Amino acid sequence: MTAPLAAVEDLSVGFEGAPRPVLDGVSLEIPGEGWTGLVGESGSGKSLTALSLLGLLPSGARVLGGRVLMGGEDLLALPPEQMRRFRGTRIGMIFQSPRSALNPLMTAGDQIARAVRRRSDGAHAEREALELLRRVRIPDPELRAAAYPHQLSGGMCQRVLIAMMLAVRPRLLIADEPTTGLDVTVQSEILDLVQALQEETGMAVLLISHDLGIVAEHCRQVAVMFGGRVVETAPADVLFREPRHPYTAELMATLLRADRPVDVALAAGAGRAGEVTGSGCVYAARCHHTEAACVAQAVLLEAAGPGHAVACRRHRELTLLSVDEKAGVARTEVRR
Amino acid sequence: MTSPLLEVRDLSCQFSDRGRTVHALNGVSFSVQAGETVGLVGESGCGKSTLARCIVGLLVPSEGRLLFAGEQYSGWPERRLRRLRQEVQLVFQDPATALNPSWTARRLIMEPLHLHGTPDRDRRLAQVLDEVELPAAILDRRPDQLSGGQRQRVAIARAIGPRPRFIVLDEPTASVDMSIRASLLRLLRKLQQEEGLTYLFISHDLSTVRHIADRLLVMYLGRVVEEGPTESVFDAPTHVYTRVLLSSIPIPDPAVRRRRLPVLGEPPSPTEIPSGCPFRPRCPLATGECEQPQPYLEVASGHRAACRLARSAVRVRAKAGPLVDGR
Repeated sequence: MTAPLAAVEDLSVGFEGAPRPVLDGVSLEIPGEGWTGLVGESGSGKSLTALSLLGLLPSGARVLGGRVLMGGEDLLALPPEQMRRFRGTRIGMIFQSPRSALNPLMTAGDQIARAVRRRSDGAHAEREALELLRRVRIPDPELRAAAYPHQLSGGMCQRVLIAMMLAVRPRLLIADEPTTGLDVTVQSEILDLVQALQEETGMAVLLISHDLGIVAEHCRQVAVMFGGRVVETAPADVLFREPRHPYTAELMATLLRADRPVDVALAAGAGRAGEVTGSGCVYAARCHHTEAACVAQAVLLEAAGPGHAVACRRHRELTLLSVDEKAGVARTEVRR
Repeated sequence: MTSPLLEVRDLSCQFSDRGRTVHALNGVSFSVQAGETVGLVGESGCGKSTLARCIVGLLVPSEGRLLFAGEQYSGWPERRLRRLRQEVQLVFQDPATALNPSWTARRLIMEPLHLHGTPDRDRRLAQVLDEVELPAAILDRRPDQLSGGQRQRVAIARAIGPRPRFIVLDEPTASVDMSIRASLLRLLRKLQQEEGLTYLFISHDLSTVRHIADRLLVMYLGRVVEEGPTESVFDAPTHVYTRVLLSSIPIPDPAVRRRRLPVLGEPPSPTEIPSGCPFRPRCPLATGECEQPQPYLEVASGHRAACRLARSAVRVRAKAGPLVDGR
């Protein structure tokens, strides 16, 4: 296996006064090309993991241990100026609220032109900006280039950000809930654009989302976070078909899918609510399979197959029903 | 046949926004039978939330009529509407903003009981809390001390407290995590069975709607362009907009590759309504025919669509007998 493009190694991050770390020994490898998914519920630490890759941990957050490696350097140890350059050229990011990621006082065209100048001498930056707007399929690009973010729809703002990424051509693009809040038709188009950008530049994409639909469609490898830890990571087809961690199984059981009239999710329901305590499994309080040892002993990610690792002591003995078995429905191609 | 619980007849609603007229609703008609769940889907700006507000009397429609249990209530003065609201409740999208942040859960749930003069309020409070599966310990907490799922349960408790017959749910699961979404949907279904409730479930999330709704209404630019039994609409979507919408939903299964129908351009502005079919400017299959208003045709039992393709579907059916999907 080739070396990963970037890797988070045993990263722990805490906030002052918080009883336990918000990231608790997170490890994640991002391969040099293609899409990696990072899923989990709100508060599981997925966005914070992404921010650590950007060296943008919020104020009050303290790194308690671990490293973030890219190109042989520990990003957490880089001086701020160097990290800024890294962000502008080698790591890009698109966010959930694209409008707030843009400068409200600059036109869309100027912002893209500025991104163009980061890469080249920028003699024709304005013209290139227009061309990029055209490539992200913004109607009336001349008109939109002169528009300010507040005059553009959310979908168009996201296209502007993608145009900036096209200009910068980063090695790694972090997409944190890039289509949450957008309509489904717009969502599909935005993801198509990112896919086209990925294929053109051969970059790596880290997609952070709570929408397992878009993760299933785009990602080859998926990591599942819960309570500040990675509890399972696996190739997408393995993860969706045979989840080995009870939390992943819960996620899969609560999936609602539009292509079939099954009712698994409502029947299966969610796990119990509970607080995380002690050094043991972070999911123990909610898990239906908890034993005393799960709470008492530390749990580490264990290999469970090619590219597959699980942080569950009982993963070998448990039989977690896959969604299909519960539904009792044969898997069929959607025709639409 | 008994009259429907809710009837919406030719409802239109316009606003003025910076000198332009926003046509939020343009002749919406449908009805909801007692005990059913009707899903209302469409993209942002299609008029879903305006419709919700008209139904509960928070907005006065420009034209058209609203009937509850056969009685017309649109045009009623505020005092009379208050009585209606005991029967017709609304749950808002984001409980974090819809609930008064300085009130405790107890006060939030008690308020509608006071407003509607519910007898034996303390008992009803305990009952409702039990029904929405919340522990009594949360009663003294304020919204920011509750989790997202708990907040939405408080909002649902407020709605069911006065024993309504009809609840409009405006994106009730949009702001919560997946596992919470599943448990809220299960709760809503349980409440429906126990209390005989009728729901209008508004959502842009078609996967959710497929699981909860008996019937589906698809809105585009202030109009219902297709309606029918949920399975019929999902199995044989007829209006091109419905097909586009359904084909855009990502399927959480790496083994499935969907074939998507593209749309043209950005979502439309409700300030400019095109003549004929409202979807015409973005429709990949539009022809000159679509410039004319399209009749609302029944393509299968209870399944209607206003699209030129519905006409060919009906023609094919007339010739071939059973419905053939017009794909």
